[in-house]
Amino acid sequence: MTDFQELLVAGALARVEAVGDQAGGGFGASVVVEDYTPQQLVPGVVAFVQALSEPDAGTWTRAFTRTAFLAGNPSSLAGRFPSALRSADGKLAWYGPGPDGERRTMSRMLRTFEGPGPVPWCGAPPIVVRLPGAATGVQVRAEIATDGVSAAAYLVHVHHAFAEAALRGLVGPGDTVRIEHHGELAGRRHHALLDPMVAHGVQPRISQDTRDPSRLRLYAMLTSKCRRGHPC
Amino acid sequence: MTAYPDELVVAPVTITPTKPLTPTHLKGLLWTDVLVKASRQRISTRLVWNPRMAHLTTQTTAFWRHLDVAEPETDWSRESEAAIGLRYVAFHQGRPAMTARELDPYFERVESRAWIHPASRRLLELWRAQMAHLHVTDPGLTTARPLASDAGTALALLHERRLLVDHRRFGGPVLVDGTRWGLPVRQLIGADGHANYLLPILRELLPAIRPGRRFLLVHDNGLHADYLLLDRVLTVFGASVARLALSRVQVAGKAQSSKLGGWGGVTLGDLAATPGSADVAAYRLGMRLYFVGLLDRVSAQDFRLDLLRRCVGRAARILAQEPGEFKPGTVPDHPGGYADPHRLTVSLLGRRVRGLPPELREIFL
Repeated sequence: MTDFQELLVAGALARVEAVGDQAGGGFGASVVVEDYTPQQLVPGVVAFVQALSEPDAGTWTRAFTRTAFLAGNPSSLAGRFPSALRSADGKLAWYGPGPDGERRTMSRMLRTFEGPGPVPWCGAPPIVVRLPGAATGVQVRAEIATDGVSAAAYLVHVHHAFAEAALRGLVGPGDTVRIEHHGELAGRRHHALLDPMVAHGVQPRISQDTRDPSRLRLYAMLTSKCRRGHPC
Repeated sequence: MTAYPDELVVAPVTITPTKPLTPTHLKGLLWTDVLVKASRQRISTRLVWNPRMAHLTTQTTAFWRHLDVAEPETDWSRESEAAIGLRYVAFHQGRPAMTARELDPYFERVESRAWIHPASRRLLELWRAQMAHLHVTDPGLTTARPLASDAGTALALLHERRLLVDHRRFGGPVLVDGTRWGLPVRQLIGADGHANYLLPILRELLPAIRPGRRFLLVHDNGLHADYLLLDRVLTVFGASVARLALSRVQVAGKAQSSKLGGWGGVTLGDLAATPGSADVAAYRLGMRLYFVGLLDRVSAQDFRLDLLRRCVGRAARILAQEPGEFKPGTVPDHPGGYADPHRLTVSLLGRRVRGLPPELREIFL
């Protein structure tokens, strides 16, 4: 095992430990996807987290921000299944979080989002998104790995990273987010950012490396200054 | 009183030419044939059948590809339909691995020049002779006519009405969105880029929508959910749509798809070759009395050769009578705006044997 692999394992374990032994099974959120871009996804997930009640935020955190991504059209579902939040362009809708049974009827009408290809904005210049709300001056840098990452996996990784960062207060309304895409996130900088001493100010997304399931991979890294009012 | 449209366009599910015609197919063909001929006496009625609807599918192209790989040397023009059908059953049992890209040339050939694999051409040739013997109008088994619109045009129309969830830019599928009607999303084009049978139907019917024209979609009731979705989608574009769902005919207690086999001895070829004293007219009428009269729309009965024989006997007695008188109202109306083939046929099964008036001979013989 390389040093970097050790850091990834430690990071992944820290996430599990933070949740403790009261993991929230059968509890989650759903996102209905007609289309997505980082410009719509990131403000959406942050606003979704912002609107959660404290108990829901707690249970969803313990459920590791479990989320199902479903292919569908939010507009045509709106009449039957009111969403918690829609993205600005209306092409993404968030449901829950709550017990899975609450979303079962809707889930049965939809299919899991399938996107085996790369994201269309792979290799594009960094995307800067100003989150709605009074400007905070906080700059969040989000680095996303794209080599061999499908559009479906990108959605999962970015959503988890921002949901967890928002739940921890590392990103919030009025912040400016700079989204960068890199083939791999395994350089010296990421090595340093995985140091437990700086964990309070960063949000890594560590998951199994789909190219080699015996290894872990850093899929996303969010870095931000701690926010006022949110002890780190 | 049934409100008839100005024009009826009957669109049955096309049958993929990969196996012999089974009792379930016969029920569909004969119900459609009686319905079209009887409705024609009331209003302008047209049958829509484009073989590309059946050929532009993975189900058909994968079988063709399999035959080319497994038996490149076979002379299909000499094969029997049972022998080809058994290969189809074996193909489904074995499910040989095949990539979507291997099927691309087949889709392209069908699309660009109405190509039909020689094994299927052989089946269609046999079907045509069997159907002619039964006097079922050839719906256009080998017509080379392109579909009424190309895939891009149909998709653009659906997209305009926000009826699609299109994830092709992520390498994903295209789904038809029926959730506004409480129907589940349904795949139209797979992540591999191949469309299923629903797209050719939409390509054919969307450009044919006209005021005063009604589409009657005739289908196997196992496809109910798909046809309900097609009905709703066509209606969005202003179409008037009726649906006729027919149950499958069970053989030996099973109502299974013909790709699973179980049709030995009961194919149209087998039935036509059953020895007996009946002439061709009694065969034609008897087959209709059985498949359209005795088997109702939702019948769960097993196929019964003994009852079919009795129907042929009954037909012979009907045909021995002097032609009867054609009374107004003899052809019953269906509320869907077409002549009801089942009730019409049942009227010939009454206790008294009556001769057929010429108007009904046109329909049944």
